Amino acid sequence: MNERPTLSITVLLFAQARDRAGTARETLELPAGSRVSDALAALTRSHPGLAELRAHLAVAMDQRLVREDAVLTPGAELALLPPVSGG
Amino acid sequence: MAELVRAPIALDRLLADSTRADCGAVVLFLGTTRDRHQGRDVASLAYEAYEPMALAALAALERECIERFAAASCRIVHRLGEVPLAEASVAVVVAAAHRGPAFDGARWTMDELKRRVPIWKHERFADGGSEWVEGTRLE
Repeated sequence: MNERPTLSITVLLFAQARDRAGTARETLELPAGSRVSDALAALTRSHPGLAELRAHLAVAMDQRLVREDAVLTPGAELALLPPVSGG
Repeated sequence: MAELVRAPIALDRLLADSTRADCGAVVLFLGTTRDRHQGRDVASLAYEAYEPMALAALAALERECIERFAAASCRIVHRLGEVPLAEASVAVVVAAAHRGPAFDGARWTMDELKRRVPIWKHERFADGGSEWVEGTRLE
């Protein structure tokens, strides 16, 4: 049986996203070739509290905003960014 | 140079850095913490940031303000952690040859900061509740 290659990413959660998930940081293992949307789906499965927020989240990969169809880079830092309210 | 700080913003230093012989105008905008939000009494406020990305976004705003308004300098300092009521949570200082671009640049920079920088404000209310302030989706 072939083992499918995987990739590992670090997920950072801020503000409401952290509160709803109950964690500020998590490591995810996903199949190689997975996209940002796959990471969000996995996170929403393990932390159902995130589901309501998901439509409002922006996502950054290695500190750049990315679309949900962006392919994950192995070792990437993915940040879940709720609507911002600085100032 | 953009800064994120966890202590009161050092306004004297910021203004001294921005005042120069080739500029006839320095505009300082302060965003200060307020004791009411949507009809509720606010007891305390705290800010958090995705710090490396926030610093990069603030630095980009400084550069863009200088370019757009032909300003001589633009400095942004945002406070993080708990900020007592009636203290500055953010300072924007724009220096320019004349007052028009200094006022316009400070206003533009502050408006953009609220849309572009991953910083979040959390309010605790006197009635015991708390919430993240409803914000703007980053784009």
